[in-house]
Amino acid sequence: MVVNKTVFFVAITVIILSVVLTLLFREQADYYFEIAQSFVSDKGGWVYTLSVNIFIIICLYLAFGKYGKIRIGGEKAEPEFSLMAWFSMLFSAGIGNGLVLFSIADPVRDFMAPPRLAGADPANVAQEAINFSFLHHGLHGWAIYSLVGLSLAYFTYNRKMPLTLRSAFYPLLGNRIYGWFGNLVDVMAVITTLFGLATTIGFGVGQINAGFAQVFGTPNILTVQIIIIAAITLASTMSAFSGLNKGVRILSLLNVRVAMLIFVLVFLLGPTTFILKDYIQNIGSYLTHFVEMSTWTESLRNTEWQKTRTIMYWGWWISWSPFVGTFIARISRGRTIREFMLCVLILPALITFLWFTAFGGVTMKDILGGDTAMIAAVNDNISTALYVFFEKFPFAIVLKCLGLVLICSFIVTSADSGALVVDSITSGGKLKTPAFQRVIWAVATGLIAAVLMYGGGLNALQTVVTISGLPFAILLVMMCFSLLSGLKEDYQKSARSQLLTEKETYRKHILQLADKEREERKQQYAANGGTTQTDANNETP
Amino acid sequence: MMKQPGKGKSLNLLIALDLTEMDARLLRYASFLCTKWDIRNLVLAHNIKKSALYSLYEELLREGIEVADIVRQDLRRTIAENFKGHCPHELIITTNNNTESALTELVEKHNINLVLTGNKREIQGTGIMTQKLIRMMPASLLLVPEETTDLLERILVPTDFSPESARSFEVALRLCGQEGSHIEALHVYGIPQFFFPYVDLDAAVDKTKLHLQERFTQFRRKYQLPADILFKYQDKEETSTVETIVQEAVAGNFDLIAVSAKGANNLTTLFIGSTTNDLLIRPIRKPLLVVK
Repeated sequence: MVVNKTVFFVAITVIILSVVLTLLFREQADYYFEIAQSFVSDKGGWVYTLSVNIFIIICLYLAFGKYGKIRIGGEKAEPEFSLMAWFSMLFSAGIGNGLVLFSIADPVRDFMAPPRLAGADPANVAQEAINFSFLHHGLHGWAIYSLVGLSLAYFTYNRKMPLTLRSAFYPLLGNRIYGWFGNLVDVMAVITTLFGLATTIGFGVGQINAGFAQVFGTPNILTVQIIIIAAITLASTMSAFSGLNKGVRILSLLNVRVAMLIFVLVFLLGPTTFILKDYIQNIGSYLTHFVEMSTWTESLRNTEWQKTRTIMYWGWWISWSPFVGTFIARISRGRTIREFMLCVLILPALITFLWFTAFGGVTMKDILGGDTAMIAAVNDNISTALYVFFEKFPFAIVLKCLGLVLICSFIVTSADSGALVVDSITSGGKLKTPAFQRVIWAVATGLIAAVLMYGGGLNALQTVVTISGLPFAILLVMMCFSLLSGLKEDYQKSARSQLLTEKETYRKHILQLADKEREERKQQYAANGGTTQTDANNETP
Repeated sequence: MMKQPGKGKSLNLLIALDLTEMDARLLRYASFLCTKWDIRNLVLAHNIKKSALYSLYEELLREGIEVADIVRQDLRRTIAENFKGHCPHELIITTNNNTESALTELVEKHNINLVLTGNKREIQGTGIMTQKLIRMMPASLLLVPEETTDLLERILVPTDFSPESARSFEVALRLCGQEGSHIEALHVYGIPQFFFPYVDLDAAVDKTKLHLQERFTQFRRKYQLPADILFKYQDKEETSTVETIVQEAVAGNFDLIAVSAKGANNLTTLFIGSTTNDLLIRPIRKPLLVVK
């Protein structure tokens, strides 16, 4: 086994302890975590708001500034995956099933309980609902992932450091990252990743079960859900066992292709022109209100909306960033920083927007047109909203089946890439580990999800994960400056080495001459019948 | 007063070799110069810069390989292949961490009038070496580009009418003041129209031209330049002085540009003229003679 003992055992102990304690004291846990969360979002909300905006600025600077040409893995590094496979993997790991779960639910919920425009023209309220769902699932979230991903990729491939979160702090802390601080950061990353995955699987299973109920009429009970968890765990275990280049890559490609197929069907069978028009309008509106929405802190209003939504989302994105960031870093060797930023920051956001327009935008149009079926569906269960949405389409059953496949494969990809990440962190940042070690983590994730599903406590865990976003937000700001100072150092170094080439070429010339000389001596040696010049001289009296 | 290359008396030449492919080019050009000039002594010099070799020097020594020996061997081969001149020449190898001062010492010791080096910035290098050399050495410098024709008939002498620049005429005359050669003086001027938006430009240009012609006549009289030197003036318009000089040299198919190290702004010996400096750091496809 290849493990960093401290991180591995501390993480396992904390996980087992917290699962057992949550099971034992479920109600208390729910209650206290709830209080903790409202405290964090009340007092620490502004930290989130400020830091996510800092991240955006730094990302844009990195993409379009002088560092854009730096290549991850060094000047001559070649990408490990094709552009499509790379993007599919990072997109699947990053968005998870959020795309499916929230694309309809979020705009509808914000339309029903508008944050700022209560009583205004419904069209404006709908637009703002869309804008806020773009904000919550758009550039900011991906900026967080980009930064963590880039920092880790940079320190792993350019500085040859282990692929764990602690490496990103090297320029700030030096060798102290190998002490308690590094261990703490890594343990935190492992725990949030595992709990985050467990809750995703837990909630995703609800969605899959609802899908089965809709499509095949299976009952919505715990036994079925446990079976689904077992199936997902099996699939993700196999995928993790086969490794990054096989299972994970193939599943991610499948994911993106199924998503594309669903989108194309919805796009062609639904109101095609409306989707195109709305996409343009939504992006324009989002950009117009970008600064204003992303810096809005409810400071002059006595409302709780921003705390329960925006802040919750920021916490959620940030707490997922160790996982997604590590995963993106793992697969991003050979990309330039500019390429990286365009494909991890801007492209995913644009695709998410398109998807949200096709699903959320069309729903908004229907609601404004008087069709309130979706409102009822979202209020009933956000997991089933997608299936209700499909019912309006011809070949609804095909779309529902595809939707089911999509949710399953999204969850499996999250689970297997999560297992890879946790394995990487607990192994002390090794890129290659024994396969069974990855299996441990894939199984553990499923097990935690099943146990908590059975005993209750998924909500409590989700709350913990979101709370852990606050310390991570502060760590991420540190990480930004660490990354910038690391890049600056290397940039200056490369500028200096440019000046050194003249010296180097001179050295090369001399080396060539020396080689020639050696060759000549060898020939001479051979010509003298195995005796050197000096030997021959000695023999003559 | 520095020693200058000239036709009347014989010359001492030094060629700075650097083990690159420029060496062959320089040696061939020097062979050509041998046919044109009376060269008393030709020093072929290379300086081994130990600091650029890091530990290589010691490593090779342990193997029984002396860097100076292999460098000498290699240079001898290159010289035998490329140098066809008949003037006396010797190969000197020095070991100094500062190539500029090594060369300067050689120049002083051997009474060198003119140093030839490669203008090889287009291959690599920063061209800092030439800037240092021209400041330190009490000799003129001839920068030879990678491609050049073995001709020395048309010479362009940019001038700013300073006494310093008059000396570049002297040298140009001595170097190629023979039958069939052609020396052209060039003055680049600019009218700072920006500051005088209401001045009639045409009138100003006419006036300037008249004035320049006048100045050149005085200049010629003062320094006793022969009457067959053609005088041209060129408005630099949008471009820089250096750009205009280079354009003119290419358009007029000149074989050499001769400038003086210092211009009208005669500060200390450490400074060289800004136009000359700009010419030094700019890759040009013509041999450049910097007269000191």
